[in-house]
Amino acid sequence: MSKSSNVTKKPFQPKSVLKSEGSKPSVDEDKELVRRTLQGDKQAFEMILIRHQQPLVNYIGRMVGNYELALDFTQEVFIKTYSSLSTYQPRFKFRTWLFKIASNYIIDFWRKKKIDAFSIDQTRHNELDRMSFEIPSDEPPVCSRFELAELKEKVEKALEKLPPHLRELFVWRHINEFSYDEIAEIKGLPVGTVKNRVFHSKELIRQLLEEHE
Amino acid sequence: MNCLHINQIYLYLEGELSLSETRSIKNHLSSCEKCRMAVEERRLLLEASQDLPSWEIPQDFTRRILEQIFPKKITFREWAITGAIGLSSAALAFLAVYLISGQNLASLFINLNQTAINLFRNMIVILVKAAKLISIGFQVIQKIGSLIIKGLTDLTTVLGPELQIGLIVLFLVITALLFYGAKRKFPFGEKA
Repeated sequence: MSKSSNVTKKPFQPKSVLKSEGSKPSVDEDKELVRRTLQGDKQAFEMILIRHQQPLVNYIGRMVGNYELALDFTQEVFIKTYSSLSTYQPRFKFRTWLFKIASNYIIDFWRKKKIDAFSIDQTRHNELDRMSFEIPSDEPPVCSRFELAELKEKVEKALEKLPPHLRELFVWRHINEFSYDEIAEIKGLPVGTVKNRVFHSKELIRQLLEEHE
Repeated sequence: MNCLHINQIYLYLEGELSLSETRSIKNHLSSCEKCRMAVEERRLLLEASQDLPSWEIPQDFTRRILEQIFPKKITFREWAITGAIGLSSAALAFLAVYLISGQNLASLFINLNQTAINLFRNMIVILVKAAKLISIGFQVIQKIGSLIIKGLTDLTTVLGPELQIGLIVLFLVITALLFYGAKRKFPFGEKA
């Protein structure tokens, strides 16, 4: 996994076990809040922050692997979002637009640090996208050997080792609970490709669990 | 039905298949131990993946971002309070120095006054010298300007009108190239 040189490599230790607050943000409410923000209502933008900061930190944190950097980047992404709010088109979901900004921000950061950004910006179809995995006849049980709490820890560790372009999709799908359509909209990829890549990310995680058992 | 592919298992577990596809998978699972175990493996993986912990957000995080986006304007009242606190602190510090050093308060004031006068005098000298330097600079620029104008006037008497136009065009091109080069080297206020 490629990481920035100034990213401190510490083992992932979530600061709390809070799950993102409550129900998913409603699409219409987001659009209404954007409209009010554009009319100068600061409280409306505060609401946008409160609704989206947790999923954004969860995503950016897992992409950069550093707590302080994750907070700084989240802050920068929100500032960028605010300054380009007038260009937001309401026919798109607000959060897909927000996460597109965040994803591009991370790619830019890695490009500036001369880290291979293509690995995350991989928008081409490749062999992987057409792959259909068959169950091997001698597949050993891996996940069923652990208690759920232990399995979660191991999944989190394995996630750090995933290639960034797969980790990103995994986080959106399983931690931020985005639909495949939303992910496809963010990355500008066909839904089928997104599904295949998410499945592949899970199989890679399972392989990593098997290897490090 | 043949044994399942991994993609089918995930689609099945995530409820992404049609009713008939789901039914046929269920039928297959009831008779295939290998696929049943593979599905159970992925079900556990999904369960663990969907319940990973969130990263903590500092309590003042929202406020910090808002302050970056909407910088707070300092009111006159806040300025006045800050000024009053600053003056009181200076007075207290002065009093503390006086008490610790055991000096006579009057001599301390005299010394302070003398220092202020000296500082003021030195500043005036520096300002006068700076004004003189600026005036000399202006005179030099003026002389260079008049020399250039004289040179150009002499040149126009020597050169024909076509050559004069050519020289003006050459000058403009060089200026444009210099500006373009400088712009590339120093992006004036443009985003990086």
